[in-house]
Amino acid sequence: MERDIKKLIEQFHNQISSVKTPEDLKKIKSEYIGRKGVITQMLKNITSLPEEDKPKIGQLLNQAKGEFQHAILEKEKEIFQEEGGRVEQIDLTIPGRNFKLGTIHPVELILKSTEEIFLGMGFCVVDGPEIELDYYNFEALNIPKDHPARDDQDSFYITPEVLLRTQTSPMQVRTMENQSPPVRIISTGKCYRRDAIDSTHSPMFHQIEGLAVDKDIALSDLKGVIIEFCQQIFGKDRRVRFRPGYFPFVEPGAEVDVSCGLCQGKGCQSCGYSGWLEIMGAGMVHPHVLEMAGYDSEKYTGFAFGMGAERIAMLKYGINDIRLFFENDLRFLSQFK
Amino acid sequence: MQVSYNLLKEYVDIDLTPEELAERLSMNGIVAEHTKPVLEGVKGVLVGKITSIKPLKGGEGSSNLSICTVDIKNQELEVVCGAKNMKVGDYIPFVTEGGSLPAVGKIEGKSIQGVFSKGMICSASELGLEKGKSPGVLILDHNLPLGERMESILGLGDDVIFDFEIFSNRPDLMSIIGIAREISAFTGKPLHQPEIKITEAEDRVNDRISVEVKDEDLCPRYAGRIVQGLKVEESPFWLRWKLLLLGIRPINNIVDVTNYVMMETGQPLHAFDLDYIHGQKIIVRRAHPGEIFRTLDGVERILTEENLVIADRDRAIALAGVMGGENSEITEKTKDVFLESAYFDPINNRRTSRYFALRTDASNRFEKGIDPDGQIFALNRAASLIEQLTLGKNLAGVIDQGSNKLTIPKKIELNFNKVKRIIGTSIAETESEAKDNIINILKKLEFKINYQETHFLEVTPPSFREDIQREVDVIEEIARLFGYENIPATLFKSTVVQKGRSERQIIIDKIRKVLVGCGMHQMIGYSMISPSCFDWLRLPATHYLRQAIKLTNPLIQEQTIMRTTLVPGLLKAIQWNVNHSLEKIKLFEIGRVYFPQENKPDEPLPVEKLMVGGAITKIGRGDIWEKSEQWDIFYLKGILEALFEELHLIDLDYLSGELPFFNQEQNGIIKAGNKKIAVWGKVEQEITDFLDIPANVYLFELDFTELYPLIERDITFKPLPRYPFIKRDISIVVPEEVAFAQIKKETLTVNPVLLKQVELFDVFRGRQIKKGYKSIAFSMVFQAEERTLTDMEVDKIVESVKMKLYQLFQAELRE
Ligand SMILES: [Zn+2]
Repeated sequence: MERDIKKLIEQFHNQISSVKTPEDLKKIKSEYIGRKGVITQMLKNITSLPEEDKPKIGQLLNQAKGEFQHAILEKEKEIFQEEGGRVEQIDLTIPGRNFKLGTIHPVELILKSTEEIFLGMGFCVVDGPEIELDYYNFEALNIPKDHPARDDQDSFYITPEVLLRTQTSPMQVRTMENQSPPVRIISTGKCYRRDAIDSTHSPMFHQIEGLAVDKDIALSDLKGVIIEFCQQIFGKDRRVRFRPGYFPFVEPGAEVDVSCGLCQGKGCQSCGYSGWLEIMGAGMVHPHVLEMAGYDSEKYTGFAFGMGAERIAMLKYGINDIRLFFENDLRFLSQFK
Repeated sequence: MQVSYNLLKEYVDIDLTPEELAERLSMNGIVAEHTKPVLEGVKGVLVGKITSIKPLKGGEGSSNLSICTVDIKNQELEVVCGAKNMKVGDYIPFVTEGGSLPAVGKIEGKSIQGVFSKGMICSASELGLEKGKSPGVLILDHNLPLGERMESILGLGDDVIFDFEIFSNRPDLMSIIGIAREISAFTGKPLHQPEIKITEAEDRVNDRISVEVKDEDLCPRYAGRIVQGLKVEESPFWLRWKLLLLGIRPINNIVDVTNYVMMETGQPLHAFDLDYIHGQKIIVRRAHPGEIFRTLDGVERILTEENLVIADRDRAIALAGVMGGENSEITEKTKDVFLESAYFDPINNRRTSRYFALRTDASNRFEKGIDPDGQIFALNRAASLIEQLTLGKNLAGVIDQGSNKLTIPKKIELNFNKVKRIIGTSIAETESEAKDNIINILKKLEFKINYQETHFLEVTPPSFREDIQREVDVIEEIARLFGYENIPATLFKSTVVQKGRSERQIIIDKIRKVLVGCGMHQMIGYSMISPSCFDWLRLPATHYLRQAIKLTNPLIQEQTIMRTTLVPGLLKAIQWNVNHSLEKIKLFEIGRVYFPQENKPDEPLPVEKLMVGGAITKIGRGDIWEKSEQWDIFYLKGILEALFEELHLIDLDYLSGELPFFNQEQNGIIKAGNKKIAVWGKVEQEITDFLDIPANVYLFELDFTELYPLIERDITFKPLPRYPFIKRDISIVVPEEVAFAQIKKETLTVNPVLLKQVELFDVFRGRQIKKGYKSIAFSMVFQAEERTLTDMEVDKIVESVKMKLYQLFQAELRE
């Protein structure tokens, strides 16, 4: 019996020394000291031994069991270390658990930064309907039916009197109808024109509209406000130029150019070799528009301006195709961090 | 309006270079959209003379080609030519081997049907002088120097063509004289009006024709002349060249004169073959309903009473101010012409040209309002030119109907103070200087000063300035000539206190920021969609989302109705990104949807609702950390919960929904009280399959209009607890149908004062759990405001919880 136990111990050590994997180790463990393992069985069978052998064999078996447990534990550590459980080397070049933030749409970025600039100049932000009455979109803006200026703004109609607004300018009239001067508002949002999609046209786009009416507002104030805006949006080094322009709801009317950022005004392909980029239409609110909204055009004067947000975004970020704004490709969107 | 630099110089002295001129004009509101050298891209084109023409006999029968010999001064070259309009002795532009043409590129000699052609005889379009294909080669003037390079001939090759953008309120600038007048106004150089020389015959115009204007409201003025005994032929080179510079194709001398005078003066003219005017009578009348008329372009048009026609005794012979008729067209056989110079009502003219989608150079001017006093000048100018070109004779007298009605001069009062108020600056140092400057500017612009006082003037604008209607219009002219660049930049003189952004806008900004913080990218979808979206979204025919507003005149099939939900746009954007191999897609949109007005019949505008939509999908395994992160329904819910938390929205009920585009099992609505504020769920696989999206898409849409009133913006500070809390975990087994929300709710009610929080930490199903049951493990946090809780107290509450859950849900404890 004693010899059997010794043999068993020898056998165990032989086997365990060649074990390489946790699976093999587990097998040996159950084979020797598991519930049905050899040692366990032998300990159970100890009752059938002659009484005088019992203590000795019992002691031997318990010793062996302890020895096995210890050896298995040691082996476990060894295997664990070999299996990559070695003293951990931290590789700091592994990417972090990056909590990826999203992005705000570039058009929204322009709308928001424009709003911020004008909020700083005492303007407030108002919203208006995208589906608008022909009256507010055209007639109250001095563009009656059959006016040639309607040619430039081919519209989507819902009924003969209801259309998708072609500009944010209806908010000028809506605001003046609901508020007495002084007025300083900015209104932004989607507009629609019946233009086929290409790299510079989209049937849907965003406009930014501004209006200021008070007792003492002049064309020179428009210049001051717009120059301030342009330099905040595009940078202090950019020059701003005002030219006469025609929009039926302003008089005098103006078009505003900002000097090309690529060539510093020397002329290049992107500015059509003129050194200037057209960015908005503006002017003094036409007295007829003031009158239709119920203002006294002798007492009050005002200026208004409007610009395309996509155009501003294209110039500011160097985007060359308006379609990119509405494809919503993540490779595009995620650049505007 | 296309015109050339040299052509303008014939009408006004110019001492600016073409570039300087374009710059000055643009600062005065006349923008040159394009500026290009007249012979841009033309190299090695010589003046040649045709010395012989013989037909080219091709290999297979006869061809349309001929062999011409061209003399280029010191040598004669043989070329093959396809045109028919040239004859021996004609001077033509000839491009030699090695030269180049704008549309053709470099010219190389080549063999055509056995003949080696050493160059090419050019047409106007090949020289870049005409759009489309010219009908033949360009026949040059015999006085041009033979063998000379076209591009270096003075006054011809050195010219520059401008294409001006003309604002629709300035039809007076749609003419050479109009632009020359502007140049004269700001440079102070004199304007040269064209010379008119007419030798009238003895016969009187009134004996040959009578004019009756039946609808004076649509034709307040109708003038005419007759030129007889003329010969219709090709115009001389100088006239053809000028027309090319103006972008107009030469036709024959009569048509060319009417076109040229229109371009020169802005007054459209029309020439009728007098022999085809029946009954020696012109009647200007509304068309008979259903009257059929064939215009010059060969199209038969059915007229309505809204259309004005020029008719003779029997029939219409022109669509007034839009296009002439085939029945009275000028042909080679025409001997006598009736020249028409009229003023047609702009609105009616515009309606007619739009109705027939027929925009012509004439209608483009009439519809904007031409000079109401310019008819006779233009008529006489054309008559004089025809006389000069054709040896035809003008009959004595001019027909002029309704001449008095249009020329009532406007009187406008201009207050000097108003000028300063609008512009923001006095345009000179002193008041009297400013007054002088104003008067000076107005005189340059041909305004008549009726009288002047210390503080104001009364002026009459020139007849061609129909756009000047009131004081501000005059002020704009002053600002324009003073120069916008000379106006100072000022900032508001007064301050205004405004409320800035509204509460609503602030909340929308917050939602945007939270979603960006959740890793979502903002997208913007088209507001116009196709109704076919509703089909692939599996919406039944009567579903409320199908009640969309229709566009009456959509542009493309994909965009015919206004969206009622952001869902199709979100899915389309996911599809786009999947198609472009993007694997982790998280998008949101804050945008409007549109519904017809239902409850307010008096409200003409539809309902616009602001919605917040979001969609996520993940394809592939992601990076080292992400591979264990599932983007499932609870990932989406996490985003929603983060948003609701930021908006202080509490007590929301998550219920099952019934939207057909969501998977039956994962189809939720979120309610606050009885208000439905959101839908969310897993997009039905049939739909993602249809869109070729190879992964599950989870999507939500919030109704901002419902959400907004519930949002609490104020932050109220709660003092920090002064006593420690006790935490207990519990694990129970309940039937599958018991929802965690129920367990949580019932648990909290056991002791609302001390039981502060219930937090789920495990849901488990497995061998040890009976089928149809699940194990739920959660922790409870207990805390008292004014004392330290004892274990005993807490144990008692936990016991009550166990008891209650057992009674309600047969919850059994799990060890
Ligand atoms: Zn540039």
